[in-house]
Formats: sequence, C-alpha cells, structure tokens
Amino acid sequence: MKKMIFKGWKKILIFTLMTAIIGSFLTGCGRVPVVKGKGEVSDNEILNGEKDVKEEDAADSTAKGRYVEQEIELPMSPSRPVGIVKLSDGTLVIPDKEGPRLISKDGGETWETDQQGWFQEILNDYYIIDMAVLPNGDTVIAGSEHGGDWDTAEKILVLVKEDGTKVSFDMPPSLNNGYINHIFASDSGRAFAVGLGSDMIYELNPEDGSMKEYLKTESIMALAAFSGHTMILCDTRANMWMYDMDTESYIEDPVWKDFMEEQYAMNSFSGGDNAYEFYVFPGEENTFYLAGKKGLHRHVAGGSAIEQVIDGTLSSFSSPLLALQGMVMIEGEQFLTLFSDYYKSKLVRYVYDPDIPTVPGQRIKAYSLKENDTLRQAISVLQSADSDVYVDYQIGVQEGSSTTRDDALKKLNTEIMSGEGPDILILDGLPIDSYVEKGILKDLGPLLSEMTGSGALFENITDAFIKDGKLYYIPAQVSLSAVAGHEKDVAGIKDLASFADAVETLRRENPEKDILGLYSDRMVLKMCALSGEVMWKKEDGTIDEALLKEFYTQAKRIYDAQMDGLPQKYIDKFNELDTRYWTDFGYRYDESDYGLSMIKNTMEFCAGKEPMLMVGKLDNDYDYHNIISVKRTDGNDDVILQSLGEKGNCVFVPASMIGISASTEKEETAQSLVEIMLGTQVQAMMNYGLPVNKEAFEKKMEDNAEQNKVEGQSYAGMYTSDENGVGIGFDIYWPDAKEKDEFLSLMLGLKSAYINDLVLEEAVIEEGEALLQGRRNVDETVLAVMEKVSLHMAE
Amino acid sequence: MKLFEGIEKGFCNVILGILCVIILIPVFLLITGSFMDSYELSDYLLPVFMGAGGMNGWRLMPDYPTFQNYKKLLFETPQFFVLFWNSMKIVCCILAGQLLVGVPGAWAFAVYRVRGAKSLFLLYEVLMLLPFQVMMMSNYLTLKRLSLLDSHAAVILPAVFSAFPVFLSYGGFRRIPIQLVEAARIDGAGEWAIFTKIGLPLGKSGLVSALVLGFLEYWNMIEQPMAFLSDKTLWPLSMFFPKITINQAGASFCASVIMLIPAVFVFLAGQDALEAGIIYSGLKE
Amino acid sequence: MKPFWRLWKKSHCTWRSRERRSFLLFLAPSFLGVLIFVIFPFMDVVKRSFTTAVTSEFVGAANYRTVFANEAFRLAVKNTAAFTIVCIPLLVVSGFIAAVLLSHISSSGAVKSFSLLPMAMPTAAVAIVWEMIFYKPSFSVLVISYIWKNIGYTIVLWFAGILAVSKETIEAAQMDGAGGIRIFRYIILPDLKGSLFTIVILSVLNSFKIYREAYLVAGSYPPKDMYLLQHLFNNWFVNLELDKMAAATVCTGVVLFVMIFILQKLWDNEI
Repeated sequence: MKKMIFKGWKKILIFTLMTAIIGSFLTGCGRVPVVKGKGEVSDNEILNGEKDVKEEDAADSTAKGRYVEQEIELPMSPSRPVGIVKLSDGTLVIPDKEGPRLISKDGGETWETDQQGWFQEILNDYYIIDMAVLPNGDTVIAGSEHGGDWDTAEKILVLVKEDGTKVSFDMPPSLNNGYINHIFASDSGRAFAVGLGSDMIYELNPEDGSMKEYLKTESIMALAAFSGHTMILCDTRANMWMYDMDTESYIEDPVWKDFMEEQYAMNSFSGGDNAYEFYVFPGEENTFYLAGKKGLHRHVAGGSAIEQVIDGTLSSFSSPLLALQGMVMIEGEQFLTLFSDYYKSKLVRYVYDPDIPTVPGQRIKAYSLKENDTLRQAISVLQSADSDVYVDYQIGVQEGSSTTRDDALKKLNTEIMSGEGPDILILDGLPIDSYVEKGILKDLGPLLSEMTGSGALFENITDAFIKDGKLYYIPAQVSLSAVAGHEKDVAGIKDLASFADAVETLRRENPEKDILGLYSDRMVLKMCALSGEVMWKKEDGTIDEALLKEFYTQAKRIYDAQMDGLPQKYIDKFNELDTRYWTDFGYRYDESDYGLSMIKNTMEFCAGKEPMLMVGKLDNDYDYHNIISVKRTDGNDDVILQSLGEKGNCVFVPASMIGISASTEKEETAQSLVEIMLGTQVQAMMNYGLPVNKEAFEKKMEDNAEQNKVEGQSYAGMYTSDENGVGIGFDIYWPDAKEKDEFLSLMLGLKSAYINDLVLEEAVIEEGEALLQGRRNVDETVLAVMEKVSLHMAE
Repeated sequence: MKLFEGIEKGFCNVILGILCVIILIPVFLLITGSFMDSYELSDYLLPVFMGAGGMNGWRLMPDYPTFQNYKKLLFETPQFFVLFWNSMKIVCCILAGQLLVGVPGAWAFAVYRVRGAKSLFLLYEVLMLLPFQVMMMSNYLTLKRLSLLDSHAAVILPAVFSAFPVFLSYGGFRRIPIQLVEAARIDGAGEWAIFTKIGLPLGKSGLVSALVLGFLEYWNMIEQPMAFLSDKTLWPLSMFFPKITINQAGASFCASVIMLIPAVFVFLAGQDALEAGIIYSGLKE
Repeated sequence: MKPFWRLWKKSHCTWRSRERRSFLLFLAPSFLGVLIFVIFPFMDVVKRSFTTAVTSEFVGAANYRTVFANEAFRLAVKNTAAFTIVCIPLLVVSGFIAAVLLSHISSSGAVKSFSLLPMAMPTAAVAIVWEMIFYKPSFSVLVISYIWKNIGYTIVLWFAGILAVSKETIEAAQMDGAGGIRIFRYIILPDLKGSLFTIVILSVLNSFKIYREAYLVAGSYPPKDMYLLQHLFNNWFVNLELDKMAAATVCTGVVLFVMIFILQKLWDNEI
C-alpha cells in the first residue's frame, strides 16, 4: 500500500512539474501590453449601464468621424444667461437677465451686444426672475421689484415686443400669492409659464394679456422643449413627459424616459439660475436632443433608440466645473452650447469632422479612488486641446456605490501587476508609502524642473515631498491648517502646546463661552491632528511615542478647556447636525469637506463674539476672504490669521496628489496631463483647494471689476439668522494689496505636509476618544494605539 | 413504548424548534427590516451605523409596514432585473458545466483504482481550499491571456472547473457498493453505461448536494465578479450592494430578501431529490 | 525506482488498462480545466513566492524566511488555527446531534430548509445583522457567525449519511442481540466516516470564507484575536506585498495538504 502511494506521488510530481513549465508560459510573466482592438467608443457609456444606447459612431478603431469643439469669442460674458434662442429670421440670441443680450446674425460666428432701451429700464426697476425670447423677437419677462422685502415686492409678468410695446399679464388667481418663475417659449411662438412650486402650466395670450390654464402636470416642471406640435416637459428629477399639443394628450415614450432616468435621475438641478444638469432641445422635425454630463444624445419622438451624438467624456460636457446653460442646433448639423463656470460663460460650437478617428488614437488611463473634479477638469482641457487624446478615467469607489476601499485597491493592484494599470494616479486614499516603496511611481523630479515660468509651482510645497532626492507625487491643491482670532489670543500660538495654552487662558477669562467652535471629542482630535499629525511618526517611519504622548496631552488640555463650561445647547445642536449628515449622506460631519473648515463659525464669531477662535482648514481663497472680511466688522480689527504647525514648520494638507506610473508607455501624454493639472488654467479654476501653481494663485487674487472683485470692495455677503431669529453675518470683501501679500507669504511659509497614514490616523482618533472622555490616561492611550497599529507595522 | 416514542419525538421537536428559531432570528430581522420605511430604519439602526453599538431595539412587526422598498426596487430600478438575470445566467451555466465536467471526474476518482488517483484528488482538494484572494492575481492573468476578462465566461469557466462539485459528488459515488459495479461489468456493461445507469441514479445524493451547495455558493459570489468584471451591466445581483450603508438600508434588506427566494426554491427542490437518492441507495444485494 | 513508463507496461491485466483508460477519459475534461484555471495559477503563485513582488527578481527562499519571522503572520496563524480548532468540532458535533434528533421526527424538510437559509443570505446583509445584534465585534461573534451560517449543510449531510446507514445490517445486529450503544459504535459510526470526512473538508473551506463577514463588521484591522490569515493576505495584497502573500499561500497549501493527507489516511484505514 505504502509503496504504491509513494510511486503515485512521483508520477504526479513529474507530471505536474512538466505542466507547470508549460503553465508558467501561459499565465505569462506579467507585463503583456494590452491592445484593445475593438474601438470602445464610449467606455463610460457602458460602465454606466446604458445598454439601450446604440452608438451611431462605428464600433471599430478605424472608424472615423467625430464632433470637435471650437470655442467662440463673446464680446462680453453674460452674467445670468438664459440659453441660446433661434429667432425665426435666423438671428441667434443669448439673453441675459442682468445685462444686454448678445446676438449673432451670422449663424453664431460673431456676436455683438444688443442694447435694448426698454430692457435697461426694466432692469433698473426690477430683478428679473426668468425670461424667454419668442421666435418673433418678443421677450417675456417675469420680474420682482427692487428693494424691500422679497415676499412683498411687486411681481410682474410682461411681454415686450421688439419695438418696446408692453403687454402686462395679471398673475392668475390660482397661483395663490405665488408668482411666475419659469417661462417657456415654443418654436411656434407660443409662450407658457409656470409658477413657483405650482404644477400648472399657463399659456400666455399676448393679444389680451390674459393667462389661461393650459395643462396640469404631475410635478413641478423646470424645463420645456418644443418641436412642431410636440412638447417635452421635464421636472427636476429627470422625469420626462411628452405631450402632443394638437391632440392634447400625452405620448408614451418609454425608451427616452428610461434613458433619462438611468442617466440623470441621480442629479437634480443645481447651481444658480438656469444651470442645467441636463437640457432638452429640438432638432429636425420630431427629433429631440438631450444634452448633459454624458454628452449629447438624439432621439426621434416615439422611436426605439437613443443615439449618442457627442460623447461626454470626449468633450466639455463632462467637465465638472462647467455648467450647461443652454444649447441649440444650427445649420449644417452643428451645435452651439453655452457653458458657464465660476467666472464667465463660454460658447462652444460643435462641428462634425468626418476625417478624424472616432476614437482618439492616444489613450491613457487615469485612476482615482474617489471622483476628483480637478482631474476631470484637466482631462477635459487636454482632450479639447488635442483631439487625438482620450483619457479613460476610472474611479475606484463611485459615488453612491457600495464597493469597499479594499476591494477597489485589490482590483487596482491586480491591474497594475498585470500591466494594465493606469498611467496617471491620484493617490488620495491609496497606500502611497507602499507604492513608493515598490517602485510603482515615476520620479517626477525631471518633469518638475521643466515646469518653470507660468508652470512654476511653490517650491516649499513640492520640497515637502522629496524623498531620497526623488519626487514621486505632487499635490494639485492644498489647504492650510490655521487659526484666527483676536491678536492677543492668537499671537502666541505656534504649536499645539501654545494652542492649548491659549485655549486654557481664554477659558479662564470666559468661563461660559464657546471658545473653539468644536463640540465633540472627534472634532477636537481631528482638528489637532491637522497640525499635530506630523508629530506622530519619526523620520524612519516608526511611531514617535514621546511625541504622540505630547500630542495627546495637548489634545486633552484643549478638549477639557473647551468643554469645561461650554453650554450644552452647542453640543446638542452639533449632535443633531452630525446625525443628520449620517442619515442624509452616509458620513459624519467631521468627514465632510465643510466639517473641518475654519470658516464655519465666522458669522457667529462676528455676531456674538463666540466662538472666540476660528480654527481649522483654510481651503481656498474664498475662505481667506471670509477672514479678512471678519476683520472689517465692528470690534474685530485686531483679528489675525496664523498658520499652525509644529517646531516652527507650518503644516498644509495636500490633496489630489498626482503620480505617474513607472511602467507607463505613454509618458508624454501622461506628462501633458500632469502639466495641465498643475498648470495655470486648471489651477486658477479650482473651486476647492488652494492652487500650488504660483501664477494661478496670483491670478485668483486678480481684481475683476465686472464682478466687483476689486481691492477693498465688498462683492458678496454671508448672512444667516441665529437661534433668536436675529440676522447675523457680514459682507465679503476682496483683499487689498497688503492682505494679498500676507496671503502669499502664508503660502510661502508652508513647510510640512500632513501625512496621510490612514491606519495610524484612525487608530489615534479612535483611541483618543476614550482619552478625552476621561476613561483612560495618556500612557494607556498611547499603548493602545501602538498595539492597534503594531499589526499594520508588522505586516 | 408508544409513549416513550411520543416523548422522544416531542423532545426532539422542541429542541429543533428552538434551534430553528435561533437560526432564523437574523433572517427575521432582514425580512421585517425590508418592510420598514427609512425613518423607522434610521431610528433603529442609527447607532449601528455611527459605530456606537447595537441597534436601538426592534419590533416584531414594523410600526408602519410599507411596501415602498419593494416597489422602488422592483418597479423603479431597471438595473435590478438585469443583474438578476445575470445572476441566473451565471449560476445556471456554472451548475450545468459542473455537471458535465465535474461529475464524470468525480466518478473517475471514486470508482477506478488507478495509481496516483488519490494524490491527484488530494491536490484537487487542497487547491479547492485556498481562498480566492491569494489566487486572484494569477487567475486574472490567466483570464487575460485567454481574453476572457469582462465577460461572463471569466466568472463561469473557473467555477465550472472548480474541485468543489468533484469533491461532493465523489462522496455520493463512494457510497455505491463496488460489487454492483463489478457485477455490471461481468454482465458486459460498458463503462459509460455503468456510469449513467448505476452511478448517476445511485450517486444522486452527492450530485444534489453539489448542486444545492453550489447554487448557494455561486448565487452569492462577490469576489470573482468584482475582480474580473468591470462592465457593470454584466454584474450579478450579489454585487448590487456589497456593503450596506444607511442610505440604502431599506433597499438592501429588500434586495437581500428577494435574493433569498430562488435559493429557497432550489433547496426545497433539492430536498426531495436528496431523500430519493438516499432511499434508493439502501438496496438489496 | 522503476522508470515511469515501465509502471504502465507492467500491468497486463486488461481490467487494469481498461480501468485506467476509463479513468482518464472520465477525468479528462475536468482535469484539463483544472489545469488551466487552478493548477497553472497556483504554479504562478509558487513562482511568485520565490521572487520579489513587483520587479520579479529571483530571491530564493528569502520570502519564506520573511514570512516565518513576521509577527503578523504568526498572530494570524495562531488565530486561524484557534478558530479552526474551536469551530470545526463545534460545528460537526452540533450538526450531528441536530441530525440525530432530526432523524427521529417526521417533518424533517422544514428544519433542513430553515437551517440552510443562513447560507443563502448575502454576506452584506449578514454583516449588518451582526452589527445590529452585537455591540462589538469579537472572536466569539466570528464563531457564532460561522456556526450559524454553516449549520445548514452540516445537518443535511449528516442526515443523509445517517439515513444511508444500511438498515439491514442494523436489523441483523439487533437480531443478533446487540444493544443500541454497540450498534452505534460498530455499525453506524464507521458508516458515517465518509460523511464526516466530507463535512470536515467543507467546514475548513468555509472557515476561510468567514473573512468577508469579518471584514465588513470589523474592518481590515480588527481586534487582535479576530485577526485571521485572510486579513493578513488582504492587507498584503492592498500594499502590494505579493511576494509575502505568495510564500504564505504556499505554506498554507502545504499545511492543508498534510492535514488532508492525514485525514484521508485515517478514513481509509478505518474502512
């Protein structure tokens, strides 16, 4: 028996060894470059489950023909545009609710401002709520009288003919003290209106100034499009109805309905006036177009297919920083689209080029764990600039999906190891240290040295990431860790210890006030961690027990000082807020962008002089404006802003850290993307995060007279009412020259980067909670952290 | 005697009853949870999600039972059905493949005394036991080589050739008395005939266990689709919510309940076949 | 040792060669597939265990040395072993008792179905339920979760095994005057060895699968006594420590091989 088993052993061994040799060839040695033979026209489409989409553009890589973008110059940027309208005589109009309209008589090539006298008069007296232009040139305006309280101001609804004659409409009684807030113009010249919060569509009769009830709808409509006798209505939840105005009945169009739900139901209208997540407009007879973040799609009413005309990912449509204001189809199957961003509007023409490849030849892969707006913006710019480039942007954990971080990382690592990894990585949330250690990332040193002139970055920031003479990743944006308050309180704060001193002093002087604006142990810990995290690890990567102890000691002092005497109402209010964040969003308040922001308490600081200190992250220039504006309020002229740090090194919190894969074969394209992301254009456009690009930083501080952003002038305001219903707040000012310099020196003074060791941070915060709540002492806590992290260190 | 038997039966019933109740508690929570609207769920579950400990108590019947979760899932989420049929397709293909490929393999191991068979079988077993994530990378490379990634085959094929059904069917076949097989051979039956006429019917219990357990295993499969399928339209239902967060709690419970249903059908059907196979195997010489 | 091919020639018996041929034919499709989808990948893992993670340079047994010296590995092995030693007997025995009880009552179908339900529940749902019921994740929660989930097939398989015990042999023994206990020891138990073997193997298989629930409930760095091999593998994977992962896998494979080998011998010898 034994002998036979032994012999059997041998046979198996030899057999499997032979097959193993053959086998290792099959499984490959890892780096097989993948050539995607089939031209995947829009990976994104498939990824988003648009199985109904039939692409018109062919499905193989040699297919040709694609719409390209051309930007058209506008003489001025409309402040509150209302889409693009085609008049029956061919003129194109971009109405503006706050200024003269723009018109083009040559099909959109050139534009000029068109001052209409009567319009200026109306503007002087009224705030325009909504406006529409009929094909014959008549304009319908809904407005509210300037001055006084919004609710009692007079609301008007007028139709003004080109020659200035006005026809006034009386608000229909069924509106119940509401007012008209949306006007829709049909291509046949009819005008419809919807009231605030009302589900009734009224039709305006310009002959006699009357309004009759036209159609009662199922919800509140926000968008309407017309083609011939078909009317499309959409509400804010991407629900769509198709109505035949001749037969006065609804048309069922399940194909489009499903499509809209699938693609856009997650969004609702956001942004200010008329910025659309999706927009519907007519094309040829009976055809409608749907524009939105996914691109442009066409559908024949009642037909069975939705065709993609323009791929969102290859155009500005998907850019997160551009909002869609309106779109129209013009001669020759071209399209004009009006986008707007933070600063201005942008008019883009889409022209079909039959000769360029449908799918750009150059493809690179970009990856980030969570959706990253700055990267998206950079991709958009790159693709617009070079029509032969396509960036396949993959997101590890998508918004709303419940994939876990580890699952996403394992998948990413598998792809990297099999040679299909991304060329560009955004390292936020990824195991950066491991990647650097394993040589996954390329040294960006040479690239950085080429970025001079307008591409120059703050050296003090990039220096913080140099390791052994190499630079493996660069953040695209940073936040400061700072504290602001009256000079006598803040001037002595240099590090956590002195911060604790200051808090304790303030507490002694003010036994019952809110000192810090932080109301829970987690918040205090996270706030301290912002500047204190640099203390936790030694140079060699091991935990610095002594400094960690120091950290905890100071954090405890701060917590105790803040909590001792703090009125309970603040804590209750905070808990309510935290809970609400959890139920609504699935994460806690301190995990949200706003939670750790320094300016969340600015209004309260001014009003009741508490909290007495504003502390947290300074995330962008707007935050800085907030602080200097606080300075201009009564009794606060001694407010100063100080960057926090340890041992004299000011700390900054990096984000959107970009790296290039060491094994990329598309080095040039990858580098272009990095340069764009760190370049002036994208950096100056960022809404969140301070730019690392010097020129962009200065550009953001540039005066802009049109928007009142001039030194020393107020351009906005922050107001709210406190618990007693009393209004509190302040005007926001543009910084003056001195303040701009101070801001720049703050940036130049940054030295240390907040290290993102997620495991350590979580352990410190979790164990710290017990310490702050008094259940443990400092030594025990440090021990607990060491134990918790020891596993991680040991692995 | 009868009384004793009666008490014995009663005793067994009680113990088993208690066992069932305990086992069913989580299932019960799931089912009642799926009928709660988000307010009630938030009430009970908030501490759970905020990491502060167990739930805030539960009720036997929800205060405000509602079908809204089901309605939303079944009528307003078209993706749900796509995923459902994906799951069905994947699992059915896998089970069919396993029957075709794995069962004959099990028969081979069970019946034929060939040198080295034991060791090979051992190898099969060991490889079956290794957790997926250690082989994930290597599997990925193989599938990539075969251009199977991002298609259902990437998930189906490795499962078809898994040692799992082989192992379970082997157990069933081993119970067949070898004398039967030899008798059939002497009677002149061919190997294939022996397999189909004796092996399959008598080894039914093994086959059915393989099918039932296999169904449960692959119906809830998460790691393989996550790793090998990027295209979301190909995902099976188990991927609908790999992790439940508070926003989706109601829908998640609901989806989980719906996922339970086919599984229940399968093992109810499998029960009968299992019993049948067993009764069959008590043969007379 | 006789050369490989001689062994083939040696058997003239037509029975033998016919057996072998049938064996190969029946096994061929399965073996081919297993070769491609299981054995080759495993060989790749073995290969990786001798090279560095990313650069694939040969390093001999260095990875193995690192792994054995690694504290995290030791802890994980300890915990996994503890888990196995605690859970498997617990599961097997309780399943057996339940199956025995079940064999005494008539409506066994319902109980079997109910006990299989846990296996049908999606992992994510299970994790949430445990979070709801238990305040803190711990080793015992893991054990409870394991038993709960796997009791179903244990009962089913035991039950099938019990029923399959040849009734005639029992009756014959009873006629011969053997008492209940003796019958149990000498007739029923041996017959059940097959079921026992199957159940143990399946239980070991499922003890690895408990990882997903553990991860969802306690994260990648759970309390120390919950830290299993799979946690370590997961964290190594995330941090691209693929060489260590491969070496540890091979070790695990070897251990499993030895374990099953012993089990199989025990089983065979008793038969």
